[in-house]
Amino acid sequence: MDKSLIALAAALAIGVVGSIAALAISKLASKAFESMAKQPEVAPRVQTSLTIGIVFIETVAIYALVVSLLLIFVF
Amino acid sequence: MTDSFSQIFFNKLWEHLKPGGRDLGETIRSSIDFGPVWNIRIGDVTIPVTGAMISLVTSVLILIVLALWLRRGLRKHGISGKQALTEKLYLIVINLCESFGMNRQQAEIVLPWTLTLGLYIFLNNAIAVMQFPAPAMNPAVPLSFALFAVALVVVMGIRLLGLKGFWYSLINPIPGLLPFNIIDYLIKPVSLALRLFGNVFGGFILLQFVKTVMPLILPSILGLWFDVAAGLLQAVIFMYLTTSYIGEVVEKSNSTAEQIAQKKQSKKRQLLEEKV
Repeated sequence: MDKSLIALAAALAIGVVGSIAALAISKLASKAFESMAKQPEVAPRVQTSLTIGIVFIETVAIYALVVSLLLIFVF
Repeated sequence: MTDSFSQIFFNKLWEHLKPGGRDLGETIRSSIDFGPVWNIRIGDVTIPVTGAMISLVTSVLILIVLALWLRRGLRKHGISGKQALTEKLYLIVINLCESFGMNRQQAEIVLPWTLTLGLYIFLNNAIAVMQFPAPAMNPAVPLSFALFAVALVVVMGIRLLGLKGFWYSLINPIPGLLPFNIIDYLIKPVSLALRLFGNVFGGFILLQFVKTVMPLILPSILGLWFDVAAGLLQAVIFMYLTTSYIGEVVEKSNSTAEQIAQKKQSKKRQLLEEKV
């Protein structure tokens, strides 16, 4: 297969997913900080769930990273 | 003789340190090698030793030495700095377990396993900064970590709650969701393994790129971030998620037990009302 097409596919895979994951994390973090500012007494619990949410979004981004690395090194 | 030797040495060194001048794709491709480094022969049996195995065993040895050093001179009063550090670490993990819905007793049963897993994964990632091959780069290693973590979740669920309690956690909101709860146990190891593998492999490729393009000072500084800091982050996340899975089992089981108790109570009330 054409090498340039593979390079484009790998770049698109990580680029698109990375930008969307960054948007998702920013939205999650802004909401979490808002609720922490409104109710400082629940801040530790919000922080815990914020971390878990970020981890799950990051997982999707890392899947994309794995896919693009496989595209580069397998084909 | 010495003259030519030093000349060859410096030529080779310059070839190694020269910025650029090598085929980037080929260098990175050749550095990804999961094959055996050497073979141990015992009679007719040959055991292939891969780079991942060497790093795994080395980090086990480091962990044992660290543990032996930390347990020397434990005291109740006037504690030393290393003991304070260990106790702080212990308390952080206990608090983490408690924030996921376990009580203190359950947290103390779970802690040795999860903390050891976290420290082991951290050492495995951080050992790459000493030019050992990072074991998590080989997809088999994170997969085995993840399978161990999920087996730990099941075993701990049965040990903390009993078989009946574990069954309650499987039929949490309603019994119809049982197949989905079982599929959940198949997906957990995949997501745990791919997260660790992708992060370590991505960091390794980036470091190889930097080593090829600019091999002088930058790789050692970037290695501190990509191997030590990112490795610590991934280890913490791995431990965090394992603990949260165990906490989830405990919480689900408790909520099902509550539901069943409520049903029994309402039935009793109905019977009483019928009698009256």
